[in-house]
Amino acid sequence: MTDKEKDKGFSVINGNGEKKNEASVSTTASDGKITFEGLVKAYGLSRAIAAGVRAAMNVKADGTVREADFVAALKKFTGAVPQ
Amino acid sequence: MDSPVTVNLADGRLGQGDEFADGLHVKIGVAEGGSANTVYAIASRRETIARFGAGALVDSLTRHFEEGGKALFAMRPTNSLAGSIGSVTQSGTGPLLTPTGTPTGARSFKVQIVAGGAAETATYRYSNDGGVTWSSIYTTPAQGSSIVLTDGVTISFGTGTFAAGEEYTFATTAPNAAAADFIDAIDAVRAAYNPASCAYTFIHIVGGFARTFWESVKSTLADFETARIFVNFILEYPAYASGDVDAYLQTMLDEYRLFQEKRISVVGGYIRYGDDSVYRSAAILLCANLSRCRTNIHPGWVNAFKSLTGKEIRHWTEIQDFINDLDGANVILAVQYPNWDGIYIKKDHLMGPSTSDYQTIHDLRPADKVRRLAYSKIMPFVNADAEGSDSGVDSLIAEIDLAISQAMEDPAKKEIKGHTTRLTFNASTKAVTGSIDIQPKGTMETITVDVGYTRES
Repeated sequence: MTDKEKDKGFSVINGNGEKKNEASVSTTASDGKITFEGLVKAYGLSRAIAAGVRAAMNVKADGTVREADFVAALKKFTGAVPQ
Repeated sequence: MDSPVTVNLADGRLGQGDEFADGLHVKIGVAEGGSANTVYAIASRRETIARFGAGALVDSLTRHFEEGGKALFAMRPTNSLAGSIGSVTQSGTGPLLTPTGTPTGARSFKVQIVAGGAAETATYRYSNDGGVTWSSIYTTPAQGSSIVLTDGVTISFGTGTFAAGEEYTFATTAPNAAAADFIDAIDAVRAAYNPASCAYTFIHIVGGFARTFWESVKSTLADFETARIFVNFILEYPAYASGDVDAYLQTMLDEYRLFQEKRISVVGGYIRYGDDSVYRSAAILLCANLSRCRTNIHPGWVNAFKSLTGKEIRHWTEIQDFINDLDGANVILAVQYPNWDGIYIKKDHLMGPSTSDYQTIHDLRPADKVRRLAYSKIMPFVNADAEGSDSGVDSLIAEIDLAISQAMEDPAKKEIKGHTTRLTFNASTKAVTGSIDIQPKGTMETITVDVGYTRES
């Protein structure tokens, strides 16, 4: 939910149904380094898990990450227990 | 999923932020019993224990009913983390005891030698609740043979002669669920939604998680929207464990300030309920209140929602030093008022940006109720004759207006002041578009009265 929805108004009927536009993601940076999105795909993470991992680690401005950092964040996030 | 109907949550930037059916919610938390990722309808404490046995979910549900909460749904995630067995403490010098197995719950085991002697002559009994209740008395087995106790635990004795009265004690931890298990459970809750039999309006995650988890939950909201399920989440901030309390509260502030999502609330307050020796999240009180109030009602309304069992607010002294900052950061707190008895919810914040119309849960709930009503009335009109006498746009408007009016504008239980529905049909695009504008009711959050003398003229 975003405030942009205000601009969409109240769309009642769309005979074609909603189209989902999945933005294309780059799995590698221009220098060939692996990106966060690339690792999300490689590890087959759901969007929800990826969001948690993303919040648990630093991703460089160009979207690249160290795989070791990614794995550590993934383990830390998915293994967290309720406190 | 083919979804011809969209009922958006429109934010008009106002700058402000069946009665019990509106409060139906799901609690997701760790429990020992019941099937994982399965929704159970729960109407009482007795039913809670029968379904789930023990665990954080059971504790939360129990307090929910004690706080006057209404019937609800509950689910436990998969317990992917196995329980464990702690070290054994032995009171004497008899044969060693070795526990093994996969514990199914958190228990305090005691094994007591009743009659001394050699193996197969000596007798013992055991307790899984620290000695409150005991088993029957059994004969010790041959040396090295295993004995199945209970709760997934097996023991065996070493060599030697048993002495009467000797005790062995050890504890087990319960299996637990991790963040990933909770995310799977949220997916399962979404799949279980049914307008007729499982129509929940919000989801309470039992147990505190860090902000990374909040982000994860936030990302699931799009899936709920796609499924036309209009919900909000109530999460818990992790409980204080140890260390400096001010530092704990400052970290809380920092975490809250980094997160925004208007369909998520995070409860930071903790209360000692009833005879509990531990503090539990104020989310229990919040959800119990929401389960029994109309959508527009503040769950901290002093005249209606005093905690029925709350005894003490954790760190209340320290919280008072931070209370304006915490409140400003959208931390949901329990509160006590000067010279007034009781514990209350201070404010039912949502984590939305300050520009949103939806600053509190009681801002969001009426709007979502309108969306639910509108959706249920719009769907039968999909692919209908736009100009038919009983199927056209005017009929659709009338249906929506009637539904909202009956459900939310009855003078005896008014949830909104009024509404206006505007819909138009575009023949070239074959699309109906428009809006439902809601006029919200207000809430008296602060009351200031000057009292003074006036002279008669």
